[in-house]
Amino acid sequence: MTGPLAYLYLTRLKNSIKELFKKPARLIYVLFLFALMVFSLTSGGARMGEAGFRDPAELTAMATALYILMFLLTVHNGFSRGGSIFTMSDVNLLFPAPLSHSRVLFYGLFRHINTSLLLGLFILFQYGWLSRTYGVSLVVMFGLFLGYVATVFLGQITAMTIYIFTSSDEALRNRWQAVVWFLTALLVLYTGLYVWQHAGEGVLSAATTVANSLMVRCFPVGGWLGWTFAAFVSGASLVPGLLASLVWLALLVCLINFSNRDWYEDVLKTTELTQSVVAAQREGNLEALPDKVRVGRTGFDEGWGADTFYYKHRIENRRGGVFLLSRNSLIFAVFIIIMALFMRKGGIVAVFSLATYMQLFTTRSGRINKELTKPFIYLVPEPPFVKLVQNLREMLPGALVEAVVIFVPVGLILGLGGPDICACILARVSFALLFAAGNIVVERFWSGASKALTMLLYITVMTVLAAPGAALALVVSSNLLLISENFIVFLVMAIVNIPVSLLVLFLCRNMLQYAELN
Amino acid sequence: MLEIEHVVKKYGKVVANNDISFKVDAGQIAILLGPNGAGKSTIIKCIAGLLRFDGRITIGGYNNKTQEAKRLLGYVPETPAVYDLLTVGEHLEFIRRAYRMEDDGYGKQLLKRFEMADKKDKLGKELSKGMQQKLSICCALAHRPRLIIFDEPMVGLDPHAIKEMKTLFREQKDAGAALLISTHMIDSVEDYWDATHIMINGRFAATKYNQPNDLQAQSLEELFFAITEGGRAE
Repeated sequence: MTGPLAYLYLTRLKNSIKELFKKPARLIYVLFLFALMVFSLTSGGARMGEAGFRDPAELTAMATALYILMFLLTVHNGFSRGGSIFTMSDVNLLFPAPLSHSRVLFYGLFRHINTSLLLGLFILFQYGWLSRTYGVSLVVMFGLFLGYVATVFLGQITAMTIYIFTSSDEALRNRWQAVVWFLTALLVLYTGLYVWQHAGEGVLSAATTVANSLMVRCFPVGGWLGWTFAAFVSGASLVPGLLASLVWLALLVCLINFSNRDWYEDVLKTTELTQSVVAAQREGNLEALPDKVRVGRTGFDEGWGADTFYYKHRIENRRGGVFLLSRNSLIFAVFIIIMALFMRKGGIVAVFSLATYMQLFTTRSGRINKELTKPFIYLVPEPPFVKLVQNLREMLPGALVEAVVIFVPVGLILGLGGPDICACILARVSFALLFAAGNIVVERFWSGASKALTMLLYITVMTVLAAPGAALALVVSSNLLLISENFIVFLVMAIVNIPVSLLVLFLCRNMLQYAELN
Repeated sequence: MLEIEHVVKKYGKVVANNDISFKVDAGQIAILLGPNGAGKSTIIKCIAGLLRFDGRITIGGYNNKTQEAKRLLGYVPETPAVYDLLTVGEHLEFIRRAYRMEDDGYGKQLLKRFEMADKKDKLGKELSKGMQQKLSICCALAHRPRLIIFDEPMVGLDPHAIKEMKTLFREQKDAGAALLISTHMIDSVEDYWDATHIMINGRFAATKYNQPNDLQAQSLEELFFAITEGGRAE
């Protein structure tokens, strides 16, 4: 990569750093994240294998499962949307330029490493609990991080290759999709059968053994990189997993570059699609629309005045394939349930904390965020508070179902009683309401702020709003014992969160009068 | 119908609208003309109640943020406001129900007029940019507003739709509605306007009233270029 491409790469990098200093809010956000990361990375320090820590095999099993899941999700996107390693400006400026296809491809690959690195940063924030539970050192942590980055990187290139070779032939695409589903089903069947047969030894132990088995490690990309990480942790040879991954990368690059296909046209399509998804996310639509929407019944059954928004959301949810639980919510729910298996030592409070942390980001995807980007919610001549409530109404049944789907299995895994599970569900729903209210606060006072600042404000506001419930739960739980400590902790949190949310919504009732739609 | 008094809108240190005052009476068409970045869309959004501002805006005598004012207002945004997962027909039904209007078939008439009746079961996301713009216009008119504000309404429309839009402007004017149209395309406003405000850097650089009998008057185009290219305005 020399000449104009090197110039372009370095100039973009330089300008993105300069841009940081022009926007103080973004700089504060980056520094905050950096400080948080440094804090996370310096809060550990134990040694793996020492007494008191859990078996490192559990860690490598988790890593393999995470890598495989990420790879499959990215590949699945490849069949429908492709996923591109290029931006629209790359496509518009570089593709027509007199540069060789290979150079442009390698430029794209090189730039994509940056994106993969950024996407993997969240792994580093897990250092605290991984260090406390498994005695993970900083070196192992970076190994885990690099494995994740490599998975995202290879997954994206695989997705792009799949799209390039199948976009013009639906039958071929269906055949390849069937192959991927078959391999996935085989993996699920194998692991499921193994765990079922060895359930007597304990589900966690059986799941750990099977995830570290040769069969799972041979699963493309995710399995190979999980193998490499496991070898890194245990000091075994890195060659098999690493070699398989490198051969895969070389194969894909050769396929794209030396095949007779003119991949510019296909990449143009995938880039346009990726761009439209990014634009939709910027507008607050955090869930990509399905490619083929089944329109079904048309027209409104009900709705008059402000509640027309609620009935509109129901139609949109039906067509968007969101039946109480979105695909993202379901993935998060499965992730939390799997994590509960590994976090039994920490108890329900640790699992609930993780679930609430993840909820912080999923609550923002409610339809009201999308609605706030359209003019109708501001223009319709109805009382602003009523419009606000009607626009939030759609999320409550989904929040309840999500809470049940997560905490019934989690409760069973952790051996909780019925009242404890009910209290967890109630607390989860109360947090959904609290986070929705927090979102309104941010929109009310800081609408129009930059994305980075909005995120920082959002997290700060949520922390402040959640503080009364958490503090009171702590105080009460240490002084009272009703049915169980867990029950009282979650019940108190819910009892405080609900009025706090309603109070916040009431105070922001005129938000629609003062929000800014830019 | 529309009165704007000393409106100032700032984005940080940037003054997007600086002390803007004007009015549009019932049965009048006013044009906001200016180059990109002159502040036309900002004042339009202030009128629609989508931005905070200093000053006073009233619609039909009501503060523009009140429900009474909103009921009188129709707004066609620059970027078509269309829901991806609603059909064309459902957009019109949504507006009718949200504005508490009984179904008198006016929505269907609008769709027919803009040649969208055969697309009533198409989803918003399946429409081309021009079709989305037409739907956005139908939505703005569906509740029979008395003040209609258009932000660059011709962008993305095909010649037939542009012709239809011009006819519609005249019809709405004749029916007593007040219209405010923002545009940077001088030739799109032709001769149906009553007043044109030329905006530069957030201010009104000149206001011209349409007097067909005044043969000595500078054309809108001449006036615009005289102002924007450094000449002196009349």
